[in-house]
Amino acid sequence: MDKKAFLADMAEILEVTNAELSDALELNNDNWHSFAVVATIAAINEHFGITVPADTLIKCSNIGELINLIEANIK
Amino acid sequence: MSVLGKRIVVSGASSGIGRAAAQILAKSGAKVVLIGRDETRLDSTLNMLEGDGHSKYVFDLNNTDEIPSFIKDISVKQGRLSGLFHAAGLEMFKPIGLVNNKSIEQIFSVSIKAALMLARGFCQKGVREEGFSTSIVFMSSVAAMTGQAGMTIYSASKGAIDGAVKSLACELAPHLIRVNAIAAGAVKTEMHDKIIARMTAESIKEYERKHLLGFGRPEDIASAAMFLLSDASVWITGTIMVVDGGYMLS
Repeated sequence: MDKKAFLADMAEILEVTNAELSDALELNNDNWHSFAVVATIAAINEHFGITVPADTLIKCSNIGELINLIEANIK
Repeated sequence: MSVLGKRIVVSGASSGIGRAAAQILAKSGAKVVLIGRDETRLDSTLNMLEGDGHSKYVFDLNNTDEIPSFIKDISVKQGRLSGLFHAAGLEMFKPIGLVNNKSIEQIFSVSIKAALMLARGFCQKGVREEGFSTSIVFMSSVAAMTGQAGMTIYSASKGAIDGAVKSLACELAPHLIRVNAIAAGAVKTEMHDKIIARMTAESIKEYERKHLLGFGRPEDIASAAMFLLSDASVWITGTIMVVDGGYMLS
């Protein structure tokens, strides 16, 4: 699981710095739009080799939930 | 629309559009040379083909420098070629902020680089039928003509195909080699499944609605490819044939 590279991509997708990207970082209407969700699905697929459904991913409300979702899908 | 007796190379023949093209060409009497990376799936395609004289070659088109000699080798073993359909390709969704050299190379290698080297291989002396019209067909996409966020690399690679088709058509016309491409809309293949897996149910409905005739089937593109490979299109070269179920109109 290339979590570090994935988080670097997430910082780019959400337009924040790596330092700002914590588990608590909120995913809201400002940064969690359809393009960001699709880009995140592509990044998850590239780094972890899994596909998380858009309808599930869009419900994540912060980065911590997103990571938990990925880990649950990997297991 | 006869391809009877023509020996036609099809790349990406282990699935999707390549497989469908191989099937329809074989059914119409062509001798099909299948190229793909996965031997098991290539064997499955081979077993689906009607008629005889077909062959298969496991080859990774990312080895671009080796393509011309590979094509030459095919012609030595199978006989001279009448046509080439380059159906192999990859899709990639990547915002510009995540684009890097590796991702560009991944898409461009199998799309435009392989296309050019396949054309080079096909043009070699002794490889193709001479004195008759022969045909090269590449896969393009409506993505080269209409924008789509996150598809920059893919669109650029297909735009490169469209440009190459026109110059190649000019250069190869004196040798009676026609060069055309098919700009496809969304076609229900494994690649398509990957694309829609990233979309919400609502977005998928909207995407299909833009295709006025619904999403396409691999056979819809395969039929267009057979037309361009056949003598029915003997006066057509340098074109990008749009086969998109009306997507460009919406």
